[in-house]
Amino acid sequence: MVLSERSLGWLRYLDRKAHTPDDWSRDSHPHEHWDNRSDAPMCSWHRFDLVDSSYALGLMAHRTPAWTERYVAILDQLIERHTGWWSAADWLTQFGHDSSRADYPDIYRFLIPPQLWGEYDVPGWTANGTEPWGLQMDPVQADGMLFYKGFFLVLLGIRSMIDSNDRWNEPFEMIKDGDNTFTWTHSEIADHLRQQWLAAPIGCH
Amino acid sequence: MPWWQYAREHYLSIHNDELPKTTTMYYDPIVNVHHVVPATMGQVVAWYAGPQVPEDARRLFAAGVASAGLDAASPSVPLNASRMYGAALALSREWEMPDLEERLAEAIEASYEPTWEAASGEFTWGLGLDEPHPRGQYNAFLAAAEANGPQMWERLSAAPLEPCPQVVGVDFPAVAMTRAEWINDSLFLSMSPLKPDPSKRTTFRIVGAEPRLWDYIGIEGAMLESTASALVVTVPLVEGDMEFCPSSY
Repeated sequence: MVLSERSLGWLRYLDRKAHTPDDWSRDSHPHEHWDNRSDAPMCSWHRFDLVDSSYALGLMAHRTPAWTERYVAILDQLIERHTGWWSAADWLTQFGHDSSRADYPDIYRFLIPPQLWGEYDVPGWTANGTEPWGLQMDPVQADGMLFYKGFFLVLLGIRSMIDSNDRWNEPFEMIKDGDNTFTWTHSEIADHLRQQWLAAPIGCH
Repeated sequence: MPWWQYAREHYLSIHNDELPKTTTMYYDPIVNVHHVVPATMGQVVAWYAGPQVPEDARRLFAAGVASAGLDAASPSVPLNASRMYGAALALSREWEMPDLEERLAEAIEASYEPTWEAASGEFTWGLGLDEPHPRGQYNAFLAAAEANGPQMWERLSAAPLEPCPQVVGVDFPAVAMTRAEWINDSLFLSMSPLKPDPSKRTTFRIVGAEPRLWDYIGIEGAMLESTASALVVTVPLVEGDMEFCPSSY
């Protein structure tokens, strides 16, 4: 198999994008080339750009299995960013019910049951702290936030499938914001989500 | 997988003979509300379900394609910027659906501004958005479609890539390998420099292979140096193929 010219061109673009230094800690901000605009209000967060960008890398590795160093280097950049505060900026800022839910744009009507319009948080609003779950600052440990830990596992999983170096099964820190610093490994996240889903086949909430 | 059995019946409605016209995007257990969306969105869900439950994912994809009217006709162009068309193109290649693939590829080509930057050799899709940076999430799905082929997405998840001796130290992005695979103990490489220049040379290493002599055919002027840890290859900076075959010890 071969890598197409377009795949190679996109790899060059993503390589530059991923290796351009930026800072995903709370007091800084991701570089503006990371996409936090697509498909609001559910996917308009930088982390989706990290995760989505990994799919092509895994596929390219299967096209050039004897040359994978560049894919792994980029994936490590993507994963490293996903351990930063900005990867969970929604969970760490959207507390309780959305105070603007009475003023949602009409386009949100297709996301909210008509009888609840004006009194309901739009899907994508993470509502950290609402009962019965209460405030949970670790987006992985949390009862909810499936769309955080699930997609992160896809990113970690693709990396693990193309490189035998198990770097991300060594403990690493996430969020890294003082007391809100949490230590996980790839396998621990996977096992935690598995246990959550076994306990609740209807899904995490 | 209990969670999948639950999801396919209660959220995706693909347990019936008839394809669903809607699916549940979110379920809210507090007020017992299903957030129902057209089955069109199932095309993206099918991307994630495909490697784990391919048969169910294909049903979901078929529902999404039918809901979007893509099963019999080309989409109207220009397409709106969306992840859906990239996901659908990727899955049409995954599951070898040539008619659908052709319709989608034509519409995407006409709508999504495939763009080369000559100096850097970078390729992206502008998607008609007139933005300073290529839209990352949509580009990512289009790039996945570009890289995908029959059953490749499923294979990626099914098992780790089989370990093999690796080409390392490639001077990317000035140099890249568009082919790099072992077949019957021989290594086949295709080198693609960004700016070929036969007066310059580039070096890379092959690590993890058994220390031995190698027969080489390919780009002329290559120099091979066998060390204890690697085969060091220095070669003119030109586009071309290389083949390394085991020789005597």
